[in-house]
Amino acid sequence: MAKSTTQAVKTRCSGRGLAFYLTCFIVVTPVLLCLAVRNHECILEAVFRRPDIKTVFPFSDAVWAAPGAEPTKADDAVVPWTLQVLKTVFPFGSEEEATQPTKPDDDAILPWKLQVSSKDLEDLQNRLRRTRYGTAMPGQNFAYGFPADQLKNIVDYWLNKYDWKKQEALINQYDHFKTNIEGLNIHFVRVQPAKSTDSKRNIRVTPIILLHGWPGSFFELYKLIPLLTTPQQIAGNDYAAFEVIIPSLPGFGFSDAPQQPGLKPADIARIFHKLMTRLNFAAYFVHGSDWGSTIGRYLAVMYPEHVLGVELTLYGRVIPTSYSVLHYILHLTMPRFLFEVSEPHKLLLGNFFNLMRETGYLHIQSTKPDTVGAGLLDSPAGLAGYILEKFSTWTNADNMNKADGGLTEYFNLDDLLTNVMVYWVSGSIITSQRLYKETWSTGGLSDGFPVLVPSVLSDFRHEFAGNNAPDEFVRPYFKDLITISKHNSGGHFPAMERPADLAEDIWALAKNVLSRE
Amino acid sequence: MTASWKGSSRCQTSRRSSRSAMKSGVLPEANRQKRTIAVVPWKLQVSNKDLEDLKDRLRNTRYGTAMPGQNFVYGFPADQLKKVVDYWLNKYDWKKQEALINQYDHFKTNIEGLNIHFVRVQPAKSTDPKRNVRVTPIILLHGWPGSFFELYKLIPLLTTPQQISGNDYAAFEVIIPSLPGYGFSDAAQKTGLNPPHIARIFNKLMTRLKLIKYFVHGGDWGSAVGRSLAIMYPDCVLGVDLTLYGMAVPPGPSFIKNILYLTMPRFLFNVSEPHKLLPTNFFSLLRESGYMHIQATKPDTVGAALLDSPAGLAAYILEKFSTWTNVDNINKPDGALSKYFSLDDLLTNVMVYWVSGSIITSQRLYKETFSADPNDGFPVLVPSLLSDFRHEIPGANSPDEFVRPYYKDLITISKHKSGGHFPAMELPIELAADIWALAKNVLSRD
Repeated sequence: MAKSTTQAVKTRCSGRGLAFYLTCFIVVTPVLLCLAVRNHECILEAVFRRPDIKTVFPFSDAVWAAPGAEPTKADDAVVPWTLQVLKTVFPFGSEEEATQPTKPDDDAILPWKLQVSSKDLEDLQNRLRRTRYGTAMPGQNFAYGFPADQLKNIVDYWLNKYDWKKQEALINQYDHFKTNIEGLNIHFVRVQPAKSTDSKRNIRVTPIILLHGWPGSFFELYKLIPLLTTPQQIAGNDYAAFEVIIPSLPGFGFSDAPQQPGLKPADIARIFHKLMTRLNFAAYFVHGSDWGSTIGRYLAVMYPEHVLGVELTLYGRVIPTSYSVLHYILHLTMPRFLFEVSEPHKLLLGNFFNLMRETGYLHIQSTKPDTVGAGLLDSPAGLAGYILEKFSTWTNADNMNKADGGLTEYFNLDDLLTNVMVYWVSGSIITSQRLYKETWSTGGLSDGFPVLVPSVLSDFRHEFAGNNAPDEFVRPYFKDLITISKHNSGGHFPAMERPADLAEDIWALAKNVLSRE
Repeated sequence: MTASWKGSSRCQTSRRSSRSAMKSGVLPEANRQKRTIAVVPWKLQVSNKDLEDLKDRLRNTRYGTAMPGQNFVYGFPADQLKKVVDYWLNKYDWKKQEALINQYDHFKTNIEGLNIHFVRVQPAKSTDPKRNVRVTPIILLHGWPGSFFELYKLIPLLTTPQQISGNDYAAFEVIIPSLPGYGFSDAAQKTGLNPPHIARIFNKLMTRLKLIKYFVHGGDWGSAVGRSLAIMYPDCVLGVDLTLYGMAVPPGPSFIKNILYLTMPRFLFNVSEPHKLLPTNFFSLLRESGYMHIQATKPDTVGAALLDSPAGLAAYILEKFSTWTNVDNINKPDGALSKYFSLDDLLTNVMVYWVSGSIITSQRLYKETFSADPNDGFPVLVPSLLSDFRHEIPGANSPDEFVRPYYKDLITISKHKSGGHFPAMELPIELAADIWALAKNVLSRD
């Protein structure tokens, strides 16, 4: 009798054991899964360890002159090459020639001025006058790209109303310089704040480097200068003002272009850090948009002891593409209570067709920059159509359906054409496009290194869809994120379109950082 | 229903006289009934003023600086462009090339509101009374960045009679149109003109010429148009020879097949030409398709400078003649252009784009096609022959096993150990041999 009871007890215990464990498993697994989804960032960081920053980022020195060129001197190593080209091939004289009275040494910083010769201006006008136009597809506005009828309007203005001498004087109102770094003459604008007349004010002058992108230029950022060099109050009698440095990226505007492959955004960051060091700025703020945003981010990542703070537009690129894909899949498949995104319209993959429609230029510039650029170097109207299409479409997605692309609604034509003139007179369109190839043909940008220095992200509502990621995705990459500043309007070129709003974000960063001391 | 591809707005090209405006088909609605079906003789005559203008532009070309040691890796390098422009200015003889173009008869005729340009070459009359020469029409279809001129070397090879059997010979009457928007054919002023529409227009052309049944040869876009002709008008198309034929396979099944062939064991899925699989060619396809991406989205933007700068146009077009002829050419200092082609031929093809001012409208075809619903996957029922040139753009011709299901009367897939994307210019004899193989097979069936 007792034996059977024991057996019965044993059987009951074993049966309950299996069901028990099975139940535990069925209950616990979804909970674990939910926890995993909620904390996927931590898990990803643990699983996909970043390699050492020193092995990934190009800290070591490089030389970008043509192979076999003479060793670097301030206007020697690369300049003879380009001077030669300019003299024999370009129909206009070299702006270099006017400014070098003496032989400088390596670190010399030489004053420079933009002076386009009358001969070159005549040549430009001749080309514009004899532009051959296509015929726009009726009723399509900007759907096929920059339409011929609008191009005629632009060229007409350029020929008959645009005053280059006035624009050149505008450009030269600030001091320009060139200095040779890694074999490249780097052009930059330097603006110091006006001396204060109010003796009670305690004005701290702090440096900032402003970084442009494509198809922008140093000139694109000009409207920020008065807003940043005018002192603002920090606390009490403590004021601050920026000393503004605006370089031309290598291969853009009046900076030399590398004559060897491999100059990527991280290399440009190193070059610009050397620039700031050469100017005796041990610590500085950074603003960047477009390529400048990537370069600015790299400055913060590579030289955190020197970067006081960084303010970026177009910040979505900080996220590795693999993570973007994963986030998108989670957003689509997981229930809302588990995985919610505040701004789903920003998801990269969700904007797939928009991105496909807008990235043709990126694709061809990343593969055949010299091919697509040859005509742009030779035809000013073609160059204007190519560049201004971006100022239209990237400012607001609706502009594609407007007859004039909305250009005059957001910008004035003088500013737009002066930016184009920077590309034209410097003959830099091909070399500017090569930056895409240097970057995207070798694997792209995704690295995911977090920014440790204080940062402000400027989120302009009409930035091109997919360029800015939802807040939750970017926060992990900015460890000292002061704010993501939301703007209800503004597109890809805020420095030209809404300079006051952008300057406000830069000041928000600076005031926060400078108050910390 | 007759479509009309001309919008109601006037064309804005500056050199049109009112008479040519009439010819171009920009007619008031009321006159549509009287729209002419005349086939009007035409001759290419570029004015001295335009030739002077071209030379001025070439002389004033602004050049970049090539990245040293990179050959064609960054695209068409400036140093090579200088050489091409130098030849163009100082050695290229346009008058001679123009006469070459005009050696055959050209015509224009208005179809669906567009003046369609074409060359028509009849075989010379046979002097041998014993021979029974059957004259059979063929339409040769070019693509981008080619032209009617690209196909010229085929003309003597096709118009010379060849033996079918015994005393039965055949010779082709050759029709070479310019695609709408290319060369000397008008461009559509309404959206939507893509290969099936072009096929309908060209079938009307052949019907108008009373060439009811005809052979078809096509490469590049011409291959898409040719395949559409065969599918839409199987009663008219005697047979079709195509290069660049991989587009017959719809992307879905193609994708799946590619995965299967890569992942499944060989005894289950063995493909004879693994070098043709898409994943193998992924990076080179990505590297070579930038032009396609921008032309399919913003043709007017990329084309504006090309319409205005002859050197820029030459660089853009000749890069394709380099890289698409052999992928290795990217690493050669001159892109191996002179190895495969004569500079005269290359520049005359470029001149077709330049003097007609058609680069933008030619690029729009990409946008019209890729924005529309794909019409692939329909099988070709008429006799067909596929010309497989070894150095065609990697990935553009699918493995044989993929394409066979889409060609129900496939005579052969003709394998050529050499030759790239422009066989009519590079290896015209080999290409003509394929066309003859098709014709002989079909004509023997009677």
